Amino acid sequence: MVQDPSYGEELHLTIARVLNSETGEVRQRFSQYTDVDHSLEEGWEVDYSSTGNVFTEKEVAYCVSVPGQNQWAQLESTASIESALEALSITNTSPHTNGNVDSGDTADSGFEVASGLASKYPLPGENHTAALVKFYSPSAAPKASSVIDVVGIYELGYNSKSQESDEERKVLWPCIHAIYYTDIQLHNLVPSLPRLALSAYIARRDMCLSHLTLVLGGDELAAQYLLLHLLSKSVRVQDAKVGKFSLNLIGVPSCEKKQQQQQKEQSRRFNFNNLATKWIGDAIAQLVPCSVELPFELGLLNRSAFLPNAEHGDLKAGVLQLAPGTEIICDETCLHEGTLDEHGVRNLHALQTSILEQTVTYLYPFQPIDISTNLRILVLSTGKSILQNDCDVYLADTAVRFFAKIQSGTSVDMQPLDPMHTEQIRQYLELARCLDFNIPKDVSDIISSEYADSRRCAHKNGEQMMTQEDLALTVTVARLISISKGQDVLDLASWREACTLEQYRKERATKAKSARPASGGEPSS
Amino acid sequence: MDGEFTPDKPQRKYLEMLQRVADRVEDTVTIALDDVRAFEIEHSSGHPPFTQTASLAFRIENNAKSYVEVISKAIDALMPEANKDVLQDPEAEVLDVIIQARRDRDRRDREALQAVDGQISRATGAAAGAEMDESFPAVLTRRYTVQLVPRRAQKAQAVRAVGAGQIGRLVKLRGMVTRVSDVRPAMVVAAYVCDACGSEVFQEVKTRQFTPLTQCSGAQCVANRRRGKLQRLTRASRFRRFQEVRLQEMTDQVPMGDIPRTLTVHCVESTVRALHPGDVAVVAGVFLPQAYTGLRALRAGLLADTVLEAHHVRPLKRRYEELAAEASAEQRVRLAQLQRGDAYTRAAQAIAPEIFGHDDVKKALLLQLVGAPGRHTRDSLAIRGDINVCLMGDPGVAKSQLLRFVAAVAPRGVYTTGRGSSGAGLTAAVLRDAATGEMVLEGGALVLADNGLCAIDEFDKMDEGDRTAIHEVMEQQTISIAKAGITTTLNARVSILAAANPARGRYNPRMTPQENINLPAALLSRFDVLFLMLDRPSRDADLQLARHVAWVHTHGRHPPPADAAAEVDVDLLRHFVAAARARSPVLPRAVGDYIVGAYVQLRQQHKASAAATRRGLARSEIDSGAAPLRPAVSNATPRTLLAILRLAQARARVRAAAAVAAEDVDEALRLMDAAHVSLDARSAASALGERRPHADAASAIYALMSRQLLSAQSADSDASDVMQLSYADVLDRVRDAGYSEPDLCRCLEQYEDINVLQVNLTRTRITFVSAPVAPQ
Repeated sequence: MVQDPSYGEELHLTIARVLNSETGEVRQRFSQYTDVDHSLEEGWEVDYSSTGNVFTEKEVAYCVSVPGQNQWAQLESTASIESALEALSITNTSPHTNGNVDSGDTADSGFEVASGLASKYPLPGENHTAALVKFYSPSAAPKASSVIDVVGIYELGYNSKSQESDEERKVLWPCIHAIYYTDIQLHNLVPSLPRLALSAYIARRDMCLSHLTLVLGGDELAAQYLLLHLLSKSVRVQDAKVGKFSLNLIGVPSCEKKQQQQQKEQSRRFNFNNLATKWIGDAIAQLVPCSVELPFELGLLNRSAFLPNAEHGDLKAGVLQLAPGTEIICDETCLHEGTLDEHGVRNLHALQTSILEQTVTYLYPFQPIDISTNLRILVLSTGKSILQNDCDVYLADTAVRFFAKIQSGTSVDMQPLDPMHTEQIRQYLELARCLDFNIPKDVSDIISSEYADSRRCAHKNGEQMMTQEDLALTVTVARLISISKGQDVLDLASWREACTLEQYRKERATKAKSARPASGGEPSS
Repeated sequence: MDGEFTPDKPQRKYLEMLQRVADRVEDTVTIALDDVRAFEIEHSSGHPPFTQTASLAFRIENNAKSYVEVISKAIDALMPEANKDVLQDPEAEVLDVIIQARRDRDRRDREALQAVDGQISRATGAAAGAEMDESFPAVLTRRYTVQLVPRRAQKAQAVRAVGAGQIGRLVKLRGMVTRVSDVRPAMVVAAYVCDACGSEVFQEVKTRQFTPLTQCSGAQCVANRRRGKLQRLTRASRFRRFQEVRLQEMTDQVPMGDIPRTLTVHCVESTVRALHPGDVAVVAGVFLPQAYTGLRALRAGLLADTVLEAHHVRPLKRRYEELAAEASAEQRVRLAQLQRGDAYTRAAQAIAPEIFGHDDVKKALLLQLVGAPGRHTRDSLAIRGDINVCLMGDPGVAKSQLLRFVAAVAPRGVYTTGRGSSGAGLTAAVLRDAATGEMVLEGGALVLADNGLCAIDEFDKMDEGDRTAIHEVMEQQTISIAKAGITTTLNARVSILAAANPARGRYNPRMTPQENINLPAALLSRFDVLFLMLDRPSRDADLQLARHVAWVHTHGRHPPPADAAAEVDVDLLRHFVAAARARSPVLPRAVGDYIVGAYVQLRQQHKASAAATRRGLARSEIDSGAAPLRPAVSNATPRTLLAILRLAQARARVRAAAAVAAEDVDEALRLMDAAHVSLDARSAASALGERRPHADAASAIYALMSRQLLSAQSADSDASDVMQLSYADVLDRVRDAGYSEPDLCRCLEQYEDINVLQVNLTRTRITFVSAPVAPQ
C-alpha cells in the first residue's frame, strides 16, 4: 500500500559529466533506475557544476505492506511471485529482485536494512515491511492509500528524510526503482477468480449464508445483513457516497474488565480480547482479504492516532489509513467507563466521519484534506453503538446466548468450513462486490410512488414519516440483495425482499427495545 | 552585452536604486521583468521581440540563475560612487574598512617596491595591483543582492507543476507556508588571515557546506614555499540572512484523492521574514538541484534534492481578489454569459444542485456569499457587510448539505458543528506549544474563517461560552479573549450560516415558533434572514426525490441537469461570487428613501399584527385555553433595516449594477417575507386542514397540563423540579374543560411520540421530559 506518495522528490542525474581528476578527461555517463553510479571507476568524479548535466525527476513514495492483510491472502499473492521468479531462474549476482514490496537481501557490511518506521504504518505494533518506491514519471505516481503491484529494480539506498542522526545514516532502505506499476484492488489478492454463472452465484450465496448463520449462532436475519455488509462498497457520487453499508450488530456480550486489564499490559497491538468478538473477527478474516480489528479500549482510543497526520512535516499514518475495501471490525464490548480525552474524542469522531461520509481526513498543517476511502465498518456492541451506523441489527436471543457461551469459554462445536468451500465463498464475495448495478425505469417508478404514498399515509395517520435516509437505506439493501444473487439489475422481487427484510429488522428492534428498556428514560413510579 | 540590458536609461528608477545601494541605504537591487519587457518593446524598432528566444525578459526568465550573475557584473560596472564617505560612517561595515586598508597597503607596498627597486617596470606593478584586486571575490565587494520580480502575467503554479524541466528557471508558485526556520546567517564569503604573511585570503561559498581552507595561498607564502596557517576571520567574512521555508500545495491545487506536495524554499536577505506559517503566498524563485553532501553523496551520488531559491515573495491576504485575477479566458467568457442572463436565479440554482426546491433559501445563501460591502465611518465605526443566515428545520431536510456546500464555495469557508470538533472550539483556545513550551493562541473556527464564511451546524447545541462569543462576533465582528493571562481581541469578520434543529428534534406545529426555536431572541435578531425548512410530504417532491435516489444508485453520479448549457459549476460560481464581491454599488437617495418607507411600513405592520395577536390570545384563552393563534415570529427592529440594506446591496452586486435599485429592495423584502412565511408554521398546519379538531383538542389539553404542572411547581417551592402529574388529576381537569378521556389519550399519544412527555405503563403518572414553556 502506498502510505505516502509524496515522500520526496529527487532530481536524478540521468546524463552526468564525469571528470577524471588526474587526467582531466571528461566523459558522459548515462544512468537510470538507480541512485548510485555503480560503474564509476577510481579517480572519476561527477562534475556537478557542468552545464552538460541532465536532470530528471523522480517521485519517491513510501510503501508498506497492505495493513490488515489476512494470512491466507498474503500466502497466495507472494507465493505466485516467488514461483514465477524461480521459473525465471535469475542468478542472484546483484541485489536485483522483483518485488511485491519484498525485502530479503542483507545489506553490505556495516549497514543495517531498515524494516520500516512504526509511525508510518497504520496499525501500531504490527510487523510489516516498508520500501521506498521511486517513480520516474511523477505525473503518473499512485495516490495515497492505494494498493499497487510494482515491477522494478531493487536496490538498497538512502532515505533522504530520516537521515538526521548518525545512527539513522547507517540504515539503508530497500528501494524499488519502478519500471512499471499498476493499481490493484483488494480482490486481486484473492487467487484465481473464475467467472460465475448466475446459478453459481445463488448456490454460493446459500453456502455463504448458511456459513454466516452458523457463525452468528443460528441468527438468519443477522447473517443476511452481515452478508449484505460484506458485499457493500462505497461509490463516490460527487459529494455523497452511495452503497456504503456500515453495520452494527447489537447484543454481543460485553467483555469483563478484569480480562481486559490483564491483556492491556501485553502490548499496544490491536486485537480482540473478548472471545465472542474474536470469534466473529476470525470468521470474517477467513473470508475477506483485509480486515482490521479495532477494540474500543479507552487506553487505545486515547493513545493511538486514527487519522494520518502531517502536521510535523512527515506524513504519519493513522489507523484509518487503510487500503480501499478493508473491513474494519470495531469491538465496542470492551469499552468501559473511564475518561476519553480530547485525542480519543477526535479519534472516535474520525471513525464516525468515515462511517457516515467514507472520507478520511489527512491532517495537513492549516488545511486538513478529506480523501475519500472505501472502508466497510462493522461494529459489535452490547447495546446500541455510540457510533451512528447505516444499519443496526439486534441479534436474536439464540445468538445472544450462543455468544455468551463462547465468551464464557465453552467450546462450541462447529464444523470447520472445508478449504474448498472457504475458497468458493471468498471468490463469491469478491466477484459479487464487483458487479455493476442498475435500477430500471419501471422499478424506479414503483419505488418512487411507494415512497411518496407511504409518506402521505404516514403523515395522515400521524406516524413517523419515511425519510430520505430510510429510502436510501432500503435502496442500498435492495441493491446488495440483488448483487448477492449475481444480478446486476434490480428486479421487483429483490426490492420487495429488501422491504420485508427491513420490516423484520425494525420489528426486532422495537421488540428488543421494549424488552430491554433504555435506562433512565422511564419514569420511576 | 552589458549595454543591452541596463534598464536604467529611460527611467531613472534603476540608477537611483544603484545610488541608494552605493550609499548603503539599500542592499537589494530589485529588477522587475515587466520593466525589462517594457524597455524591450519600447526600444525595438517596430518588431518587438515576442518569441521566447528573442526577448531578453523571457531569456532571463528561462535562465534566471545565470543571468543573475551577468546582471550583477553589469551592475558592478555601473555602480556609481557613493555620495558620502562610507568609511566615515560610524556604522561602516568592517569589510569596507578592510578593503580600504588593504588597498592602501597595496599602494604603499607598490610605492615601496618601486622605491627600492626602480627596475621593476610600472607595468608589472599594475599587473600586481590587478592581481590583488582579483583576490577580492566579486561577491565580497558587492553590497547588494539581485532579485528578480517575475512578470505579472506569469501564472502562479502548483508545487507539483515544477519539475526537472524548470531547473534554473524563474518559477512562480502559489502555496501555503507550513513551516519557517529561524533566520540564520549563511556564509557567502569566508575570510582568513595567514599566520605567516598576514595576508587575507577569501573563499567564496556556493554550497551549503564547504571545506575551510587551511593553507595560505598568498603570494609571499607561495614564493617562500611556506605553509602559512590560515585563521578564519568571522568579522571579515560575509554572511547573508538565510531562512528555510516549507511551501505546501493548496487544497484547490491538489488533484482529487491526492495529497499535497511540499517544496523547500530558501529565502535570503530581503525575502527573509516575509512569510509566516499559515500564510498563503506567491513565491517566485529559481528552481535548483542541490547535491547531497557527506556520506549520503557517496551512496546516492546521482541524486539531488530540490530547492527553490526565492527571489520575490508576496503573502496573499484577500483570497477573493486573487481568485478574480486567476480566472481563465474561458471562465471569463462563461462568466460574462452568466452575467448577461438571469444571473441571480441561475447562480442561486447552482448552490447545492442536488437538493430540490428551497429556491428562496438558495437565493438567500447566494446573497450571503456575495455579501454587502463593509463600511468604515470616519469615527472608525465598522458597519458589518456580512450577511448572517439561520436555517432551522426538521432533521433530514438537507440543511447540513447546504451548509457544507456553501462552506466549500466560500474561499475561506469553515464548516463546524456547534459542539466544536477541535479543542479550540469556535472561538479560540490557549494551548501550550509542545515544542517550545510557550503558550500559544489557537484560533477556532470563527477566527479561521476571518474574511470568509463560517457554517455552524447544530447551532442550538452550542456551548454556552461559544454562544456568548457569537453575540460579539455577529455584531462587532471581533472575538475578545481573556484566557490564561492572554488578553486580546481577534478579528472575526465572518458571515455566519447557522443550522439548528427545533427544540424537540422535530418542528411541532402545535407549539409557537418561540417554543420551537431553541435560541434566545438576542441571538436570533442578529440573523438577517431566518428560514424554516419543514419536512412536509408532497407527492411531486417525494417522487422526484425517490427517483433521484434510484438514479444515483444506478449510475453512480448525479443526473445531468435538464439544461446542460445553463449549468453553473462550483468553479464558475466561485468566480461569479468573487467578481460580485469586487463591486461596491452605491445607494441612491431615492432608493434610500424607499427603504426608509418600507421599513416604517414594516414596523407599523408588525405593531398591528402584535396587537392582533394579543387580542387573539385573549379570545382564545377564553375559548379553549389554547396557545396563541398567530404569534409574532420576530420583531422588526433597527437591525431589520440594516438587514434589508445589506440584502439589497448584495443583490445589486449580483446584478453587476453600479447602484442599488428599488427592485433590489423589493427582492430583499420578499426574501425576508418568504423567510417569515416559512417560519409561520401555522399557515402550514392549517394548509393540511384535516386534523384541525384533534390538533386543537390535543394542544388545548397539553396547555392545560403545562399550566397544572407549573402551578404545582410554584405552589410548592421545594418541588420546583417536579415533572410529574397524576393521571387522575389531569383527567379531572380535562373533563372539567369539556374534553373526553379519548381526547386525553390521543393527546398523550401524540406528545409521547415527539418525546415531550411519557406515561408509565400502569397509566397512573404523566412525566414531562423537559419543563414546559409557560403558555402566554
